[in-house]
Amino acid sequence: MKLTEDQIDALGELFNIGVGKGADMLNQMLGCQIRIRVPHIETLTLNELEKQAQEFGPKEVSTVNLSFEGSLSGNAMLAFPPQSAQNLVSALTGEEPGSPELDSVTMDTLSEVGNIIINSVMGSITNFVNQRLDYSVPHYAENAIHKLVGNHIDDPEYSIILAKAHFSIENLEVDGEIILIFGVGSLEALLQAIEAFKKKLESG
Amino acid sequence: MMPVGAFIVDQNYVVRRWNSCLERWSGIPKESILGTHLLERFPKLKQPQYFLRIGEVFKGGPPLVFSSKFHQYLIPCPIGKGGNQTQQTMVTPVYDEEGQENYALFTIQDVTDATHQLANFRNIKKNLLGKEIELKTVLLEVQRINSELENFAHVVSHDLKAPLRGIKNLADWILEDLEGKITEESKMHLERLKERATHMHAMIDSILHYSRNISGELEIEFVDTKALIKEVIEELCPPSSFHLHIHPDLPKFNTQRTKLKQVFTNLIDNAFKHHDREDGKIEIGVKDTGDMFEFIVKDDGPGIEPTFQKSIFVIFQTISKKSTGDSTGIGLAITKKIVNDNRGTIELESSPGAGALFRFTWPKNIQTLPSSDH
Repeated sequence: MKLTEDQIDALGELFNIGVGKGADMLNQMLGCQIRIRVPHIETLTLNELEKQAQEFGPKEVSTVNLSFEGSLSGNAMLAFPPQSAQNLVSALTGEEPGSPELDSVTMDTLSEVGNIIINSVMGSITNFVNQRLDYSVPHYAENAIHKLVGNHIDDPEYSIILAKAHFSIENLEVDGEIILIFGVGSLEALLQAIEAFKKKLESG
Repeated sequence: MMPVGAFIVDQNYVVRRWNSCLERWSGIPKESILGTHLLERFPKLKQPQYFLRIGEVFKGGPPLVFSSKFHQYLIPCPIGKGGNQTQQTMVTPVYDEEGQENYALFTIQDVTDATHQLANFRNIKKNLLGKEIELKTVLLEVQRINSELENFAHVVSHDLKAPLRGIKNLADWILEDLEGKITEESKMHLERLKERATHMHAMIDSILHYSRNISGELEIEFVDTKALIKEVIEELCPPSSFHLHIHPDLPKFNTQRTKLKQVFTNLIDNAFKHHDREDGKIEIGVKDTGDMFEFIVKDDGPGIEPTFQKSIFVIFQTISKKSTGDSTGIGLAITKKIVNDNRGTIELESSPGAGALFRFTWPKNIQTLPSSDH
């Protein structure tokens, strides 16, 4: 089953609502002016994702992973490419880029920042899923992205949604990329959520 | 295993569980907190960044992470010296057996020690950075002074040599003008004047030479020590009656060729110059001592009195009784400087009538200093 262009647009909008809420929470919590946008999303097979991940090379990325089960089951992974991770953490914590201190606070900082964004996106989607989901404990990991994809999103039956989000912190002129990878066991529950969302939009 | 503080609140924020670890950490016994309102006990949690996120857990949202970087603690747990624990907290949804009522489980890890270690690490790094900056400043100052010294030596030697040349020329002209009109004694005095001027000229050259050896870095090249010594001997042109014995196993290695050549030149020249016989014998050998080569230059000349042995490496100290132009007393001072600059040592073994043996060490691997920007 594939998503139509219309459905992809609606899902993209759900992602944007999610990351927007996450950014609001970060701004409230940290007093910063962070903006996160998802310009577009794409759907892929696991093979296609693995190919893209291989192209990304051996660079270590920082990721926050969350597994979920229920009517919608799968894994959500939020990946911060190295430069983006460094820019974001140094902007949020005031540590100098490239310093060893930055390394030591990266895990601590990205665990929570990732948790806020991923939870907001999950919240935005699950608002339109009728059944409650069961979640794993959020898991922070650093590795080459293709290895992380292999560890967390390993079911060939998974439908993959890849969202490349762009963040910017206005007053600090810092920006970067966050990659959201959603692997879901079945698109059915997701399609229902998309339809419910579209209906809500239509009803205003 | 690390102890974990844990408590559970229901959807109305009423505390339902409070574990013994948290009793110990917070000093709040469970009897006094169970059944009370969490937000009333800890008003900080009413702030939107806590309240809104915890609210999502009650709605069945994913677990929350509160990092120690952004929130030192959620539940104040006093530690010694008047502070509070640094905590990492996770909030997980929990349901009752029927799956109807939602609870939030707070699990708290004490990361105070790790945070202190990081703070200590930062202090150490800050101190080291301070020292590094201090050292860099000193190094720059040394480089600046060396450069000034070199310039100074250059200018002084140039300015001093010009009048000396004048004195020598004037002495020559006086000798020419007074040819046949002055006594032999006066002629000898004028010759002495010329000799002294020549000696002073040589001393000034030596100052320049010495200052060049203080500063400046030379390239590292592959050196065949045996070939280098043969080259030195050819340049020094010793009398053919001299016997030279060069150790066959002299090393071939990468080093500062020009510096090593200068050390051998000074030591071998010293042995030739101060020898009292035309059929003198000079021996050059080596011993491998691990990180260093230990070279020897030995002669069977008149030897050096113990009282002079300490002063021979001091600039302008010569034991030669002749104060002629070719012995300024700077050669061994330069030799010692070059050897010491290369982490080596030089020593002398000698006794009157039994020759002299110079022993110096030279590193197998030269570590060069950062070069000056000047």
